[in-house]
Amino acid sequence: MDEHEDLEHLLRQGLRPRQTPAGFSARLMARIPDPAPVPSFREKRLFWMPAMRWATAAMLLGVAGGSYWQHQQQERIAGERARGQLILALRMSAATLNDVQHKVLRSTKGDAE
Amino acid sequence: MITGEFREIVEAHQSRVYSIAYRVLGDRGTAEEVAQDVFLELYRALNTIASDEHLTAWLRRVAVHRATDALRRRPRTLHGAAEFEDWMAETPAEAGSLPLASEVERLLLALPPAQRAVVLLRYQEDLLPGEIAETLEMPLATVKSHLQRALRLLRARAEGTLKEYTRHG
Repeated sequence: MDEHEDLEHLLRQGLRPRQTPAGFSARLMARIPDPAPVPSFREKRLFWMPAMRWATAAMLLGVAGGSYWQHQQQERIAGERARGQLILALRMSAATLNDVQHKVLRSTKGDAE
Repeated sequence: MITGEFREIVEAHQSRVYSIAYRVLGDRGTAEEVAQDVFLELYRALNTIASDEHLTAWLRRVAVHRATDALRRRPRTLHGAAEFEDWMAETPAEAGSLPLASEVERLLLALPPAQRAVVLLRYQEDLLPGEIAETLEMPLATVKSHLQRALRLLRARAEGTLKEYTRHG
């Protein structure tokens, strides 16, 4: 082994990885930020104030839209029911008129004979 | 990223990162700070890491750069042989470390920072000059030149210290 190889060998031997100081990884892990940091009270309030406003507005719009739709539905059902009753009444009137007409014709024929 | 997986990465690579930082800087406290900062930076950049090889290369590169940055904030470069002898005499060997490791580390700290980084990557990390050039974003010729100069300096300075290990080892 020549002088150059001796030195390289010594460097490899002398530069093996060192041990980290005791508690290194525990101290490091303590510095790692939480994956989902809990927002402070101030951050929470700042987040919730506009969010609550939007939520309230959306809820009011939903309620108003729902009652309007329900009112329209009720009106439609009532209209259909009235139409049905009218048609029934007209049919009944037509049948009654037919009966009366038949009776009148029959009595007219009897008188003539 | 789940912190459990990150902890596994730390366990697997902490020794490498700390060793680079310590050997560039020469003091344990700053080396630990730098090593921790490197891992925190990794935590934020985890989604950019594509593979284990990429991770190792990333850690080497960032560890060398961050340690060199920390070194620049307190520069210490030795030039003359007499200055080196004085510094070796006043710098105690790291308590608890092996004598050879301690001597090699003291010799390394007397090199200019760029040469120190190249020697570290060559002999601690076992990288080839081309890989060192890629890690340090440095031309290959510059890496080779740093390596030759560093070895020349180390050979000259190691006359009185490392010869013992060569004879006995």
